[in-house]
Amino acid sequence: MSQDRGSVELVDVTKRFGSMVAVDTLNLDVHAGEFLSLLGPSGCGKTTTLRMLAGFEQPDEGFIRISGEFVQGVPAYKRDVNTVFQQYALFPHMTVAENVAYGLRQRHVSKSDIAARVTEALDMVKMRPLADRKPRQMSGGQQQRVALARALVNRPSVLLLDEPLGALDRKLREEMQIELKLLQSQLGITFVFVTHDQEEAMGMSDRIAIMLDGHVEQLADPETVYEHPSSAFVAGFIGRNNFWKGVSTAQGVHADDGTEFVASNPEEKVAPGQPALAAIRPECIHLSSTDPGHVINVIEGAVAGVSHYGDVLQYVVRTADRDVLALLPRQGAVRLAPGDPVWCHWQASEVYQFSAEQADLVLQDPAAEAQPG
Amino acid sequence: MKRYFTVSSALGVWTGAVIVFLFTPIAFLVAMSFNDYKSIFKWTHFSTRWWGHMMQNTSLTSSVRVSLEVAFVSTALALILGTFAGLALAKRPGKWTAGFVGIILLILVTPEIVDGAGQLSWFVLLGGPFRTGLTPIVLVHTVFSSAVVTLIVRARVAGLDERLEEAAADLFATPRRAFFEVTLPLVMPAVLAGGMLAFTLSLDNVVSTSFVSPAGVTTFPNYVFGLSGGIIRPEVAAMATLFIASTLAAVGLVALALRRGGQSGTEIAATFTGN
Repeated sequence: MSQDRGSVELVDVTKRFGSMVAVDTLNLDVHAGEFLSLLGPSGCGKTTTLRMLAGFEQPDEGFIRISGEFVQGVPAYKRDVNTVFQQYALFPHMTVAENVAYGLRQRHVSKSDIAARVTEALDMVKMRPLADRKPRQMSGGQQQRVALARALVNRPSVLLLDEPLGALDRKLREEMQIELKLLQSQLGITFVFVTHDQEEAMGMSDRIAIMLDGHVEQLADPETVYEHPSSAFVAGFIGRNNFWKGVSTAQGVHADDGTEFVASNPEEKVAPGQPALAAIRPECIHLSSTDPGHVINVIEGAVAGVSHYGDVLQYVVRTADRDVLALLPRQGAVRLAPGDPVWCHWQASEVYQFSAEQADLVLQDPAAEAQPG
Repeated sequence: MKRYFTVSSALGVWTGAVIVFLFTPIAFLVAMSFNDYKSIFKWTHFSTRWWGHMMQNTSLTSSVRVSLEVAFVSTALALILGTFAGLALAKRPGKWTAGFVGIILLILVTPEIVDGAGQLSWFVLLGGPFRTGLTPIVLVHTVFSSAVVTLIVRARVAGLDERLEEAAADLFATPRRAFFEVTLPLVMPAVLAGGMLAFTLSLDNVVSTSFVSPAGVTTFPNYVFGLSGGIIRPEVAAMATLFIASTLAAVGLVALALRRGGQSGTEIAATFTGN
């Protein structure tokens, strides 16, 4: 038991609501003491998965083990896990200190121990001065900290966090991300963190489970999911990508607009002649105002728009069939004006190649989204 | 600035007029309880003699006792029925919800004269305890009071964050403790407001009460209503004054309880107005 404390295992877990399959034969291993994010668009089943870990929902099929023990039919109040809720769900009729003490009281911890642990937990989130306030007398950020203290004071084997930063403004959210990560590494408690914000997941997690349609699409550390996305969906969801649809060739992809992609390390093997997707990240695209003189891994167009983001310049290049998004570091970037002819080119090592199965998911033009207005 | 002053003083005058309009009859009644004359329709001079008479008039005092007993018992029953019905409606809605709410609304909109006639014929058919003592009156009052409590509690529960009960369960509270420590305290303002309303409605009721009252059992309003020749003596005004004073005290106590429970002034006001 002790060496497993904090591990989570989901095996072939399925959860249906009526005819809707929220979680579909999901498999997931969470190591003890790791910070794991469940990342995905809304409706991907990440919150349902978390709620099954908390015990608010029971799986229809498959099984879940927490700290090595099966939790089938074990109600939420008997599970050694605690949750930080999306809107905090602090008890409005109790003070901050009473909120934090609630879990300890249920477990019949002695009064003096409760007082000491509540103080310790409030110190940890820097909320001790507000111990006698009611939740409605506090800002969202303060409520968030109390919710965290209320969960952590119980020293759970696993802490579940359901988009806890979603309601905070950007600056506060970034501060809390750093604090959460620090707390997690100090306490060594397993964190399962649900979010739809890929930057949040990338910044904090040891590993990320990217979810789609109720299953895990890829489970890996942030660098791997960025560098080696296992599917077109992951490539489009983590960071941004320019996608082309076409047909697989021996070396890469022949795109429908005629662009010839040669890939030196395809992520997905696609048999030649099959429909395929090629993808290039915006920061991997080089721009040149003169014809580079080769015919592979290049596309010709005209500058449609330039945006300055401080450290990077973003170009939208209009080609015959589509817009291409390119991000260039400000230092040494080629300066072009709208209307200038331009050639986008890239290294063969930067070409991703995927089967065309998820074409519909990723083929919204990223350049169109990036344009102002 | 000047314009603003004119508008705001006009509004002040208007507010004053509304208050005078609403409360003059009540103030008049209170004043008349200190009248020396034998009816409340003519003022002679100040006297407290009718306050003494009030205590000696046994048919008056026993009608008040009947009213209070009926009000307490029917409110208690309505609180139990209405609170759980409201919780069930808000927390476990299903196919039954619409029909159930329909019945409740039907209770509230049916003219009392119809209610009373129907209830009387039903009680006559049942006979026995339904035709003696306070039972028939209590039952009739409980019916409409529980409908009112149900609607108020349901509105409050529907406005509660449903995650709160999950949060309690997440923090190791059994369903029982979660209910008593989280749900019930948060629903309490609605229960108190519903209880006050139920109590008032019961004290107030004339029509259906007069239908089902067994012989020899009279509530205070029905006693006043049945005074012969419409002569209302100041002792009745004295009793009414006592009622007004105790109502104010009850409202004050409930507000105090809510404040203790951590409600803000606006939330307390919202509770009393049923929001």
